[in-house]
Amino acid sequence: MNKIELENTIRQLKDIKPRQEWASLLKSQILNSAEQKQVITVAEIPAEKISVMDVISGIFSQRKLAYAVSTTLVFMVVGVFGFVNYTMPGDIFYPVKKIVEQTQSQTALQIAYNRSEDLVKVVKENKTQNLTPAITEYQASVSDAVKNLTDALANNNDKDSVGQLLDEVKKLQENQKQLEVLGVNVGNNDEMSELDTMLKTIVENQMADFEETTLTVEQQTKLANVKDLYEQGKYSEALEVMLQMDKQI
Amino acid sequence: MCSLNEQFSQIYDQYIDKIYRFVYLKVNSQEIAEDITSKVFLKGWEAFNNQGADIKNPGAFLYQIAKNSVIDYYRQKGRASVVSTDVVAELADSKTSAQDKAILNADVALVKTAIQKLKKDYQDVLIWHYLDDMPIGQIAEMIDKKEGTVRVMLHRGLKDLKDIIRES
Repeated sequence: MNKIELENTIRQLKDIKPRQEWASLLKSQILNSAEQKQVITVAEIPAEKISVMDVISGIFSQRKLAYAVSTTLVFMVVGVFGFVNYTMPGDIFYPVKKIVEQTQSQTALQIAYNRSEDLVKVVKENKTQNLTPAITEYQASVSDAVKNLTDALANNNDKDSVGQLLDEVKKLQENQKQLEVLGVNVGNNDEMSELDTMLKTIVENQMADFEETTLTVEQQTKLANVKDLYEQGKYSEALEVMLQMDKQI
Repeated sequence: MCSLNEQFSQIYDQYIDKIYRFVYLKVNSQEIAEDITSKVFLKGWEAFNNQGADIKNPGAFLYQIAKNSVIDYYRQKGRASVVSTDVVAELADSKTSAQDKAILNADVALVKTAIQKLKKDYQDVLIWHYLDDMPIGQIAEMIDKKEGTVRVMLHRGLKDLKDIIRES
């Protein structure tokens, strides 16, 4: 290896980089540590003294015990299902939360939205042990949601369906932006690109339809706006304007 | 005027990759590099909070903390502060990390291992010059030496690196 080859090979070591999620988490931990002041005090709780007589009298109260245990169990079960709403990916009861979502017949997008909420909460509360599972769950849920949306957009051409699906697309894009603002890079670039390509195709078809239609001056102005948005790659916004134009025709 | 948080956030974004890479090339372990890099930035943040505008060159400051942190790490592990080539070979991960497999080809992996066997001072100048694109003048200022001395160190560092690669 001559000097130039060696220098070029050394420069290839620039590819050594830290993990994105680790770097983002470290940054938020350092910057948030300055804002949070936690004062934890531990109060001493005097130990209760339980005598042998207390235990014996308890055993003989079987009927009361049965009622008390069953009532407690009911509250516990209700409590668990209420409690699972607060669990995060990586927690023990998190699979129960996913089952509850399935029984409630939530759409793929609603589930992706729930996962993004979980991830935002994990980042804001610095729950490092939950971060990797939260990111994994989010990526999987977005992948499902985008696939469903892409299929739905391909199969539903009527304006009402496109309008509803567009609302869902915007929610998904807003989720991604919110996470990027928090410094979390969740990938999903391929899926979002695929969705973008689908939206672009729909916009192109709709623009072609409008160009064959007689338009008012106001509609021509809107169509020019649509073309600008298309050029900027803002396909969901372009589609939104065209749906408004559709309602006026 | 930016708050301290915003200022440090910019410094963090500018140096996180560089400091991590600097540390990683010295310890050859992702886990240890992350641990040490975290400590570097935590200490850096503490100092920045207390001294703020008194830190004229945040980059040089962070690199100094990184160098000291790596030395501390080796001391805690019971190793000499100047690491011999034999010890460096033992420190290397027994399995190539997924990152290495994905990113580094054979030549690059060879150079990476060879850098770890270099003298500490030569390691530093090579990393700063070739990986962080630091001009020689800036390196000289950082280590308080003349530019001519830094050029010589670079030249000798490259020569030693070639020798190590040839021997392996």
